[in-house]
Amino acid sequence: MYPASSSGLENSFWEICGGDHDLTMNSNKLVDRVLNGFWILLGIGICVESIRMKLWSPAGPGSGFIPFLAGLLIGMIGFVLFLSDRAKDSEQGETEKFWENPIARNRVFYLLASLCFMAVLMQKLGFLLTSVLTTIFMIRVIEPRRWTTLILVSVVSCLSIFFLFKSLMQINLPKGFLGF
Amino acid sequence: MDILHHLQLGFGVCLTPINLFYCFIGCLVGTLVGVLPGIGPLAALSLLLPVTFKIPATASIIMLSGIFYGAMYGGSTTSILINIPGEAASVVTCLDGYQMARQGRAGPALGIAAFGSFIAGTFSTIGLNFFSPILVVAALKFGPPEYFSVMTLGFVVSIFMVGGSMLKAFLMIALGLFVSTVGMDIINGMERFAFGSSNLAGGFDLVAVIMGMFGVSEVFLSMEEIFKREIFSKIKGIFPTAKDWVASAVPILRGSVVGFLIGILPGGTPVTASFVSYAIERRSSRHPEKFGKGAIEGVAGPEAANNSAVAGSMIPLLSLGLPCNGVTALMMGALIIHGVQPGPTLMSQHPDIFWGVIASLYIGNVMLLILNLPLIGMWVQFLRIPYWALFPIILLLCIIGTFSANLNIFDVWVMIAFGVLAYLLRKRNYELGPFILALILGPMFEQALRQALVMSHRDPMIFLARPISGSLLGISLLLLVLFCISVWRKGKKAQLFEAPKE
Repeated sequence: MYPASSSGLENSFWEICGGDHDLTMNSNKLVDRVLNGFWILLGIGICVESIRMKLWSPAGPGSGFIPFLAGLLIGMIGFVLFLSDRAKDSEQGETEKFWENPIARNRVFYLLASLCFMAVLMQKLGFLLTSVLTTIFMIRVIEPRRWTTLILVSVVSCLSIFFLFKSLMQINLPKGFLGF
Repeated sequence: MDILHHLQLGFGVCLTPINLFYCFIGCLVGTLVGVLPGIGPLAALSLLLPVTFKIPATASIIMLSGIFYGAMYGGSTTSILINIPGEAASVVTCLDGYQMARQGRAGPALGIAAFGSFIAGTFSTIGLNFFSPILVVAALKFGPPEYFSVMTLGFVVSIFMVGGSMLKAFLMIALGLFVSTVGMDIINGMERFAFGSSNLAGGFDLVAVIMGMFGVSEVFLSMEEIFKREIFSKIKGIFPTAKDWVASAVPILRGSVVGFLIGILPGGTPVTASFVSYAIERRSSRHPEKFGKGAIEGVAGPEAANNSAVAGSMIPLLSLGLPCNGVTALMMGALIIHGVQPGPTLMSQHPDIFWGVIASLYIGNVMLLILNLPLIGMWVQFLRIPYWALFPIILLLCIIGTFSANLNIFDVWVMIAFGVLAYLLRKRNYELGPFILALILGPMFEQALRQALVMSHRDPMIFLARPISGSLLGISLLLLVLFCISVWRKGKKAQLFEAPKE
């Protein structure tokens, strides 16, 4: 039984998380559960890999000793947090939203997309060109300004940074096919 | 007399034109990053780290420490004038500083913050001056078991200091320890959690992780706020009145002591120092109801404490070679790149660096007082830069800082990944301080543990049998037990799980 508005993706999250009626894609409860689940899985994964690396050697603790302890703690605390959140959920009915408004959510996704864009294209197009394009995009989608203001601010700020780090501090920045 | 003689050497080193120049640059950049919200001292240090490769070791460390304490001075300006902390240690200054500004008392608030910072900075430098040599003598007796126990105490202290969920802080320490183990095993060279990737074989780059966790996540969080701000730019009467001084004298003194002591502790940061100082001032005040409504004590105490903690946190770095926060970890990195190993032998092998840095703190504090009071109008102009124009610059600086460390695009991906993770964690009340501490100390912690067990032929009693190590572990255990008892008695079981909402 899922809310009528639930998407397929949302439904799959519901199934993973036990199917509470007050869970939505935008709830803190869901994020907590996903995080707690992640801690448990991460802990198990670390422990398994650590055992493979050997916990103990003739000289003393092996390569896997500290990671194993860390993994054990992560998994155990994740499990305790999972249980405590479940107990809390049964006491509290209301659901707090992870993002108070959709604008905030969209801004975060736009920023993330911009950073990924930079990481993918920085070495192909060069730092200067990629940074100007990314800055224009970021300002345009996050806090729209007039195109002239937008382009002027982006070009001036990127050129200043480029000049400061490349020319003054002599830091190597990706050049790209255009040579800058 | 010996200390005075050494200090004379330090001033001789620091007053050379090149070191004086880099001290000024550090103070200037520090104040700027403190004033601009979104760029903290950590990000600034990461950005300038590649620059330090080309300048002498003493000048590098003098400049980097100038950025650290300069940011503490600058952060208060933003908190007082626009109610946004310039950096994390100035969060509590917003509470009363901004209220003072709204009441037309921005000048005295800025004045007392600067004078308080100067007094506390000088006080803690004197403390550093006298305590470091004593600690160096004690540290020469330290072996792997003692180092392991000091770091354990640091982890326990960091759990207490988060003020939120202890379990989540514990989890953050475990996560930090795990992340620190990714890459090559320092003892036998075995690859761990690299899964055949040459990028992961060297481990996660510290700068990339720090930039992501503090720089990128900060910008993500700021996306949820309204960008428009009100700036109180009419500043008059910057010198506090006699009444202000009477009200602030004891909080400044208390803040100086508290900040210094917290700074010395592994895991103690200027952020914690300012929060603890504010809590003490409110509790000890005859008029606690005035706090949050423009009480000058609420500005004087925390501002003194965060500055005092800076010099305090230099003690474990210079004396023990233990960086107890991200900033000192980067300073240590800068020194190691120059072939200088911080620790008990630093004072004897590189007295110019050891005493030069201490002398630079005295000089830097005077520079910052001049930069922050007569030039306050200049810093206010920086606050006029709208955030929509500022955040892309912050992100670009994060990318440059991360990329330039190893010229590897993989580090940028690591920065993005840790930025997203930190954003989620911060929104769900996980504290990043314990994570960073464990990440920094992780390799040393593991090395100390394994070396100690090799020394003792795998007998764990070595940690308890040696007096210093045993005492430190005893204190750690006692702290944990006392805290658990007090939480249980007060019926605050929730504190174990839940971070306070404020």
